[in-house]
Amino acid sequence: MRGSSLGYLIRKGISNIWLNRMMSAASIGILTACLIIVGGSGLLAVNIRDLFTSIENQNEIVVFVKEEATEQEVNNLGTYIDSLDHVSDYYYVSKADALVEQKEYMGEKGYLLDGLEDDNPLPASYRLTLSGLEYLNEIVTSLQSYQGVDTISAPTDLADTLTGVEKTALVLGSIIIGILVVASTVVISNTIRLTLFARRREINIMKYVGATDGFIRLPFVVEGITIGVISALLAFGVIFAIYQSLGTLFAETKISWLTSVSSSLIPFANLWIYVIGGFLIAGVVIGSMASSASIRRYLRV
Amino acid sequence: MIEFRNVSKNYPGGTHALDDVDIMIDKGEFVFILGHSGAGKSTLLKLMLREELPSKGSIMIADYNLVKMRKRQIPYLRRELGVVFQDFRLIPTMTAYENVAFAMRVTNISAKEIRRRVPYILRIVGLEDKMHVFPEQLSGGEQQRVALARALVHNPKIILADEPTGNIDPELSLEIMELLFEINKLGTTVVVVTHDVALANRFHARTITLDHGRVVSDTKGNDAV
Repeated sequence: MRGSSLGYLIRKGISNIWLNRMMSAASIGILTACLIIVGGSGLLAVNIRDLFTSIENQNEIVVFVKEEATEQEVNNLGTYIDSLDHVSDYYYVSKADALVEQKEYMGEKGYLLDGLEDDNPLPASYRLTLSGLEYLNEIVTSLQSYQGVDTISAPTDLADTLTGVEKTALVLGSIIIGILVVASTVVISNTIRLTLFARRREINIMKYVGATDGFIRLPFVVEGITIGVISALLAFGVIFAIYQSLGTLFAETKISWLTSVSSSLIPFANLWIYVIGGFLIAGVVIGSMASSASIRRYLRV
Repeated sequence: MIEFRNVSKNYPGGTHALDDVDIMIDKGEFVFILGHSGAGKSTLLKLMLREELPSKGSIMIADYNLVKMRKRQIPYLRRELGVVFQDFRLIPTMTAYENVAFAMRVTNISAKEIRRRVPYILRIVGLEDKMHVFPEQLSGGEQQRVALARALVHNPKIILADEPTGNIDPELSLEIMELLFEINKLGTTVVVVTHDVALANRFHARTITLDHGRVVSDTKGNDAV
């Protein structure tokens, strides 16, 4: 296709939007709203995820070794832990190390533990950091029955809660996103159907003078994609404004936990490229899906 | 140029629109296809434009086998066929010039070529003074001439005119018909589909008469006009 023709068809597509300005505005409105909701939930999810990761990192599994365990058993346990998946880090704390650690923890009163070196009551342990809290139960179970293991201290309740929250959010989020995508596609494809109707005379003539399918369809695809891109840019602007003003609002409020939330918010500068990228991709995909749907159904060439 | 062999067309519900039709039209001929409504004229046109396929038989137009051709070849067949309709089918928001240019733009012709060719064709149909006038300010005859100009942009081998004078005052009809004969003299095959016996009789061209989906007569014209 030659450049001048391509330019002509693209201009045609954009003028289609103006031709049906009411419906185009409705399409842009609903798609923008969808993107804002989806993008907003996405940003919320990313921030929660970030918060969870920091909570997760503060928690570790402590596997206490039995008092009577042999050196061989301790080594075997070490090798076994090393072979486990989802353990991102681990280290061994001997009885002596544990005592030093405890003394440090007690600070000034650490002297109370003096003289225990020879009769150390503190157990040796392995400290494990996991790559994700969702693996916690599985790993605890597999270690519990291992030879030489006494007890295991792990934040299983927290893990359950956090994983549960994440799963629910994911399922709910997917359902909402699905509904919104379908709704926007339907509204946009109706808009394009109206344009097809308004342009039926031209389409009919194009057919008889021997325009190829591509030429007849392109303006309508351009129309869909342009609606998508405009919505993406609008949604980005709104999301940007909301994110920034929420950050400022939280930082200035007297409510202390909100202030601490604002300090742990991921800066928009780290996120904007994903937000605009995601919006543009979603806008273009939804726009072209909607236009090809109506073209397929209503344009008999 | 146009060849229908044993062509039948049945529609669902048992309508036999065309029944074993044989038509041969040579390059450079001027032919009327005559018949009242329901005789099968519209079906014939739809088949020629490859809007529909025959139920039986074969159709060849300008070296295209319409039954066997690929779908994406259809636009190229249609560029060999300039079509003129009874209701002109001009775009009201475009001037005469733009209406003709539109047909070229949507078939991937360069802007330079469009600027060169549109005035030339409008001159052929005698509208060089009304290039930038909108259809509603033109008479029926003039509108039909714009439509004819549009049909000519691709330098088609065949002009198909469907009741071209149906919406035009009788005195202006003659002008359109004369224009079609002019175009025919330049070597283009012209097929005029009409129900108007008087129109066909007035010019002594070949006339194929359809009735109930069959060819009932095919009279060679004496010398044309």
